[in-house]
Amino acid sequence: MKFRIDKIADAIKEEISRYAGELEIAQIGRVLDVGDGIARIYGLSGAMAGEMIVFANDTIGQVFNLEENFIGAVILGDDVGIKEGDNVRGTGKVLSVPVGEELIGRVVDPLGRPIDDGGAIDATDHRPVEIPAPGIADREPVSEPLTTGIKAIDSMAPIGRGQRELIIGDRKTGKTTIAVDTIINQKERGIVCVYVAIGQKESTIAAVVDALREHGAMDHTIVVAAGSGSAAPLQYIAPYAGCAMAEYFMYAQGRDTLCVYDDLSKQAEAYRQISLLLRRPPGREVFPGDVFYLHSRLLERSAKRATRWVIVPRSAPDEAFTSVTGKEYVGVPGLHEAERDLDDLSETHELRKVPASGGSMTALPIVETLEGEVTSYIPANVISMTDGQVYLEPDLFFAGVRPAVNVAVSVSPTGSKTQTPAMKKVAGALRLDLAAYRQVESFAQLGTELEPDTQRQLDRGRALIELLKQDLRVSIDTTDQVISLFAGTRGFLDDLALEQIGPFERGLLDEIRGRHPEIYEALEESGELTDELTEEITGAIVEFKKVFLAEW
Amino acid sequence: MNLRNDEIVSAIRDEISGYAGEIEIKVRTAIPLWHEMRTAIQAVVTGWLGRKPILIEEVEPGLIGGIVIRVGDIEIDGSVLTRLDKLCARATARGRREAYHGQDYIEDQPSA
Repeated sequence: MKFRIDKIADAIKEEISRYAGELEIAQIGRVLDVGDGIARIYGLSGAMAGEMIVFANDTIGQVFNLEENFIGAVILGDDVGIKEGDNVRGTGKVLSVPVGEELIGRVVDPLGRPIDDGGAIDATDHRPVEIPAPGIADREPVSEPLTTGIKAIDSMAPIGRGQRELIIGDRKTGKTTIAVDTIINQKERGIVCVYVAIGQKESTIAAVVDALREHGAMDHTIVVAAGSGSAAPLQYIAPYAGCAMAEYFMYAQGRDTLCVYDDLSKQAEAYRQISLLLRRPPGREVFPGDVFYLHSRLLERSAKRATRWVIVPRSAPDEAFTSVTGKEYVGVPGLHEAERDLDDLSETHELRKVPASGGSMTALPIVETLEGEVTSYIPANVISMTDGQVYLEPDLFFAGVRPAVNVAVSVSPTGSKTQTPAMKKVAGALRLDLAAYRQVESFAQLGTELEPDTQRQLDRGRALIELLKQDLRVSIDTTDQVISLFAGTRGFLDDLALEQIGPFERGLLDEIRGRHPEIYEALEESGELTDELTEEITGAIVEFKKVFLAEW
Repeated sequence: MNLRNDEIVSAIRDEISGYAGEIEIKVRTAIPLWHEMRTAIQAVVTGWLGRKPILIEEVEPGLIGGIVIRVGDIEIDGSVLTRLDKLCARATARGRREAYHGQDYIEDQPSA
């Protein structure tokens, strides 16, 4: 490996010639004491809350408490190299992280420094870790779905782009799996995903990265990792840093993004640790008084941004975005108004979306409960901030129902508006059938002979529960889900043995795609279960069932 | 919060000199200050802060050249050492950035 000396020399000469003799002016403070990830600093009288500071060994810190005689700061890194008496420099800036396309596919720490083997990151830009959430005028109602590929969720608790959906449950119930499978399902949909790992074992984080890589998901994902071995301040800012990285794509490019915070319970614990060490008064469950605000300001940054439109002449060059009517139309009401204004001009003019407008950030926060207690402090807080929850239960998990989603209590009112009419129909029927099943479930244990209606409800319920089971890392396309749930809610599975249902579903979906592609395409395009389509699908299922039973 | 005795003393000294319209400043240079230099510094600081500066001088050959002035919390670093450090950091960052974007500083590497 030979160095091109001449080129390097030229570069250095150029740098020297550009070398201006500016003075470095900085505010300096001195470390009074340091330990446990926090430091008390004397001086730095101009420091502001949240300001980024730099210790003598180049470790970064953040100003937390402004007390009468000193500053309480958190150390975003190892406190080992910092000594009492060391100088600390103020930067006059708020804490920021590198953002940009270069981060996609990389695993970074909460300060944006790479921790994978991919080399240095030369970021396009930097964004502050904390910014105010978008205001009312900048938002639009959620209208597009964010498909997880998981039947139980896409039908019963569907997620929309720009909403917050909480994944909540005890440990080891499959919360991370749902989040990771959702990320994998965003392949080639143009959605940038950020997975923030907070307080987890490094081995667990490595396993998630491997899974993402194996399924080609790292091509659209950034992983921000603050494992349990990281300093508490890093675990505290990790979700905000991940959010900032996703916000770059939302604000600068008007793209849809997804942020997974795994998990916020650990972030709250890290925040509690820092607050106690800096002597902030403890409240309920020893959490600081602003632990609600810790999470609310994070989750409020997820939004569906209003798209802006302009009316331009068709002949105008691609970069022209000045509206001929002099008005920029904002959001959904704006779009309607624009369409009205366009009416007379539609021959010669067209609607154009203002670049970098619109976009969304969907949040999937994860909270761990103890013994299913959702009314405890942190879970209750976060439930009140999200637009719906997916409840995972250990009983279901160990009974073999995986994903262990309790579809009766899992909700997503916002996301339901984004479902196609076809999915709404089958999901509605599914909901009713499962509700009926739950009412008669207890009778099954009596062992007595039951009325035909009751027996049918039991069979239907059992079949549907079996149908909703899904393997890890297997994602089912929405149209396939509609067909599958159609078969289930119309009773075609009622008389099958439970172990036949999985293979039947797979076979049916293959059959329709292979032998009746026009059904699939019609359903995919219209999203509606017309009477005609209903008949066609019914016919195909009946036919397939005959063959299936014969060959079983 | 443990303040050392010398810190308490210097804090009291600051207060007193403040009342007297004076201000203590710490000056670090690579070679000892000479008379004209001292006068120049005092003139500049008086103009800047409006108080008569009392210089506390420290010689630090490691600075190579230039001057570092510390007034209370604010430090003005005009030392050659810091400027060279900054130059080095800038050049290294540039090299890293250019190599990342395919600039070939190494013979056998194919350009990205």
